[in-house]
Parts: sequence; C-alpha cells; structure tokens
Amino acid sequence: MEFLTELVGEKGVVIVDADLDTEAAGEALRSACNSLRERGKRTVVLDLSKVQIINSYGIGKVLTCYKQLKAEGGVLYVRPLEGFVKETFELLMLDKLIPTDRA
Amino acid sequence: MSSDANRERKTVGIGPENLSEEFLISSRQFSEQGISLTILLKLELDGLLIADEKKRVTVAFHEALVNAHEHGNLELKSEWRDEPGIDGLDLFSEIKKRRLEDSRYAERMLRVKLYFDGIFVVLQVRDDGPGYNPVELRESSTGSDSASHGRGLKLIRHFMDDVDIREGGRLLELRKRLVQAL
Repeated sequence: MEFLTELVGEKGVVIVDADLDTEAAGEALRSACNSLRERGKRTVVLDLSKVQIINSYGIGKVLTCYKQLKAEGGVLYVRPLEGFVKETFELLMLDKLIPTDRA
Repeated sequence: MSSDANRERKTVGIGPENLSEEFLISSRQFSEQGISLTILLKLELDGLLIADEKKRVTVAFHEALVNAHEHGNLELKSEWRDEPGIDGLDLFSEIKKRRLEDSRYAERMLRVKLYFDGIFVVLQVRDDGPGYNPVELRESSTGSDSASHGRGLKLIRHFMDDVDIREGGRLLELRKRLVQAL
C-alpha cells in the first residue's frame, strides 16, 4: 500500500486514500511523510477526506509524522476534517496539536 | 481466521436475537489474520447498528482485540513505541517481532465472545497474559497529547456505553446499546 504525495508550493501533501486502521496503512502513511521530509519539505499536509475509519494504528503514525516534523522545525497540517475522523481527532485533542490547512 | 474450526458456533440469520459467536485464536494467528476477525465482527453487526455507530463499534472492537493481543498476550508496553529500536523500528515493533517468534508468547490464546443480552451487544475479549492493574494503566495513559500511545482505551470508553475490566485485567467486556428499534 502506498499513498500519493503532491508538492503544492512549499507544502508537501499526502493523499490518504484508504482507512487508517491497519498496520499496513499506518506504515504507508509513515513512508509518505518520510518521503516528503527527505525531499526537504518541512510543511506537510494530510488530506484525510477519503478516510472513513481511523484507529490507534493510524493515530500513532499521524503523531509520529507530527513529532518528526516538529523536531526539524516543521509543521504538520490536516485539510478540513469531517465525520468520524473529525470526531476522533477532537476526542483525542489532536485538533489542538495539528492545525487545519484552509488554503 | 482460516477455517470455521475457530468458530465454535455459527449464527444463522440476521437479528440481535441470533447474535452469538465465539472465536478462539492464538496471538500468532491473530497477528497474521487479525484483520479477518475484525471484519467478521463488523459483518456480524450488519443490520444491527446504523452506519455511524458501526464505525465506532468497529474501532472499539479492534482496539479491544489489539490490546489483548499486544499488551495481554505479548506483554508489550505502550511506552516502547516512543523508544528507538534497531533496523529503523521502534522498540515496541522490535520486541513484538521477537515475541511473535517465541511460542511462549505467540501461542497464547485470545478468546472472543460476541452476543446480544437483550439490551446490549456485548463483546468479551480474554487473553492469556499475566493481567494488569487497570488503575495503573489509567494513570500511565494520561501522558502528553503527542505521545504515540495510550489512546486505545480512551477510544473504547468513548465509543461504548459500558466497559468493564475483570479477571485481573485479562477480560475486557464492551457493551453497546442497540440503537435500532427491535
């Protein structure tokens, strides 16, 4: 499993097109974030609009990406969230850590 | 779940009154095919729960199974996720890999029951691990917001109507009231 990455100006965007509820999906997210960091991107945006379900596997990898970017002076954003993913982010207070990219 | 041998009772028909399943699976099998069990449990809920509730229940069930497998049977500590291991893995993943090759851990069983008690859909997950003190777990899982662990039980408690930890931490029981009119 691989997630598409895009470069939009100074930002790197990860298009997550599968549920983040398995180790394989979590690993794909980690790999995509690392790929953007290795290409010099320090602002990374996660597009989770196609994600229906996220669980602790997925959350853990989102936070790994957040912490790696933060350690390098970077920032992780998410595109506006909806539904179950939004509910889960708010429940775990991830919305306080990871700002929304409204560009 | 490679065969019906692991399925002690088979449900026929759809409806809460028919919901009664038991599964017996080793941690080695769960590691290889665990997602199949999650999907199977999700299918059992078809027709019983509305779509949004089904997502919440599916995640809570998954977290319960993974907790029993990883923290119960394999005795892995959540904080190891934030510690570096070797070969680019975190310490949690490194030790997990080793324990899945060690029959003392990998052959421990998960015993799963899913049934309807007249009001609630009930999921019971038993593991063969040494158990734990739920109070200590609650205290250790209130770390920083960015810690990569400690969220499974929080998700379970939020998405379920009732959560009970018994048998010294070896049995986790989740209860969800059916929202569909019976």
